[in-house]
Amino acid sequence: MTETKQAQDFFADMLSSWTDTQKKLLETWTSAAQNSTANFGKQQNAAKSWQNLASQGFGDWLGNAEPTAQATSQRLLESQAMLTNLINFFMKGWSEVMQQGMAGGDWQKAMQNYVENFRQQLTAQQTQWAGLSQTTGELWTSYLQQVPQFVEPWQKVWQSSLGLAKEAPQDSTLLGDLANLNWQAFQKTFGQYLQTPALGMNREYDEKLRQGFHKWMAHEEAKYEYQLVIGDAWLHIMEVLQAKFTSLAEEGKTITTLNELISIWNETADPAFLDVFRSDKYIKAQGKMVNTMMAYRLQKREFVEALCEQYDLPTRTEVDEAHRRNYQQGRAIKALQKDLAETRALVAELHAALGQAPKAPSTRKKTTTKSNTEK
Amino acid sequence: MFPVQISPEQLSKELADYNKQMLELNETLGKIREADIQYGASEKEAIYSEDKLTLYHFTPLVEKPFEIPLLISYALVNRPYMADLQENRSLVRNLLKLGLDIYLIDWGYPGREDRWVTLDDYINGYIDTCVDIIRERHNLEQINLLGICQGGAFSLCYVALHPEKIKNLITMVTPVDFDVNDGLLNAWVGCTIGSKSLDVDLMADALGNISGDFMNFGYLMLKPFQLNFQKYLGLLSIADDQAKVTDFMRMEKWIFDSPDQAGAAWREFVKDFYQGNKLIKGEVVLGGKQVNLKNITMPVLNIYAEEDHLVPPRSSMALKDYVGSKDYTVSNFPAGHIGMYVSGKVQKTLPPLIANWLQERP
Repeated sequence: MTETKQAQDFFADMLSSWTDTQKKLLETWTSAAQNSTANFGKQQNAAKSWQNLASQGFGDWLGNAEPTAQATSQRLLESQAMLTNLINFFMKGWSEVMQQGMAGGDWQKAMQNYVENFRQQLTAQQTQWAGLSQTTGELWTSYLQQVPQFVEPWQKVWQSSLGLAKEAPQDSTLLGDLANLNWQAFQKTFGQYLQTPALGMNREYDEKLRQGFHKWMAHEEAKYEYQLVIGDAWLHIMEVLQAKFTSLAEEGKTITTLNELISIWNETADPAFLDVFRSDKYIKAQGKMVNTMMAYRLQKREFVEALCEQYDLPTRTEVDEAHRRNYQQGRAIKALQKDLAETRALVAELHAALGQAPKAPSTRKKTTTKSNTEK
Repeated sequence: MFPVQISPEQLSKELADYNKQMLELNETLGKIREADIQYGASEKEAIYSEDKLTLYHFTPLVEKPFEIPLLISYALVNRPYMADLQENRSLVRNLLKLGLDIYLIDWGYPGREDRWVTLDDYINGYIDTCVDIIRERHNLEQINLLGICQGGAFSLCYVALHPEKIKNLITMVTPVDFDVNDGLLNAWVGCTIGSKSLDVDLMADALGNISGDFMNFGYLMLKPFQLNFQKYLGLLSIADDQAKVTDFMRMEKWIFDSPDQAGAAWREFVKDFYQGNKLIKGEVVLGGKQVNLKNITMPVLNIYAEEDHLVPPRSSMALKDYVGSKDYTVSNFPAGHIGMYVSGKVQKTLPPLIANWLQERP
């Protein structure tokens, strides 16, 4: 048997063991969970089913458990899912690397190719985004799909109150009407149109809608850039792992247990992430994502508040302003109370110095006398 | 040769063991109740409350405690009971056993109505009121103050403005110089590139109060695999030990029981301290008065953690160059930020260090 065939058989045995183990585990969980009231769906992928079953089992057994226990078990399941994904990643993602390794081939070149493929996928995604930003019509549509999520409670009421219900298209609202009106203008003079003030009765809403689009676009772009930087972090992990494996190979050391492999992953992943997280590029990308998110959130609030005002509903801004006045008055009262206490203490000292008992503060309620002019 | 040489049999065995542990853990978790993981090991009494704040006095564990009581000012970002987590992991309890008389400020849980509360309110308002109450209770001109983490930064500001009221000052894992990029948190919050990393005004305007969950997410991302993955897998190795799992769960409860941050105070703290590094520049202004660390002339004990990833050691160590005190002591421990309180090793030496230092300065 050639070394390559030997390697392939070995690898096939590993995958088969993995699958067999999953099946055995599935049987274990099935038998245990059948004693509970778990409801099983169709089993398709063994590892995924194991995961689902674990969640159901945990859910059933911890259904009456305390909140912190439930939360911890949820995080445990999530880390278990991550472990499953990691194992799958090692097994399947590096299949060629491992096969080369088993056969005594150039596994380092295979790993290099793997890392390079990963890098090319990242670059391709960047190009894809650049192409997407050309189709402004599609972007506008995507944005309008977002808008109903935060105006949905109001749009029907608004629509009917403005007498537009019978004129509205089947699945659109006033917002959709505006979008349709603006559609052609956007397609022809997108950038210029956004700079031009709107006209007409719905001017303010239209302007808020378009400003929202600006902010939404900025946030989508920032999210995408952030994902690319995170991709860089993963790439860095691959490179560091590659260096680690090379170093182990040169020292003649081997990893013979899953625990060791996971340990090496843990020793590698966080420091590699942190290398990227410290960079100005990452910090700016993260900052941009958070800042654009906040700007969009503010814009959404403006839009919703404009609708709320139509129906005499209190807005976030108004409630915050009420809280602010309350806070300022509270502060003023506290300052006065403090001054009063200090003054009383001073008066008490003076009385003591003069050998007199301090006068007790008046507890009489002041009464008001009605003026003759109030008749 | 490719270094990964895991046999199919080994892989199967480990996965089977792993699942056995999952089953054991499942059973153990099901036995633990929320009442089992409440923190706060030491008996205490609420002696004052104002708005969301409560001032607690711990019941002394000796017949004649130290004459000068110690007030603990913790950070706003977490509940203060890390200092009194459980019976065998309680800085407070260990200090009580050594004879200290301890008070603690519980900041409570800010609501939306607290969005306008400022640092001046916290420092010149709440802390000052608590100090005055304790002084009055004990008929003393001065008390001792222990500030932890952000609470330490608050304590520094307070003492700089009211030095006449504090006898001795202890700061623990306290950030002083915020312009240290050893700390990832510092960099993320803008110590290097300012508002491009975080537009504080925009965030405070958009969110009002900053949610505890958002803050937690940031902390978890500082060590993404360790804190989101490895920690929970490690739980499996103690799956059949209910006591250890209970301890783990108690810590989990504390970690995720994070109060929201009052928007105005958060805005000031991040902009002035993290982004502007104004504390050491003497540019922090509270209640119209400038905070000058040189006004801190009483004895100072500064304690920091060598492996602190939240408050880099260099940030804490900088205090020496800015206080006016001639009696300045620094001490460090081989622990992380939280390890200072939960490490058994540290808890053997830290409480005696504090107690002895205070006893030498009556």
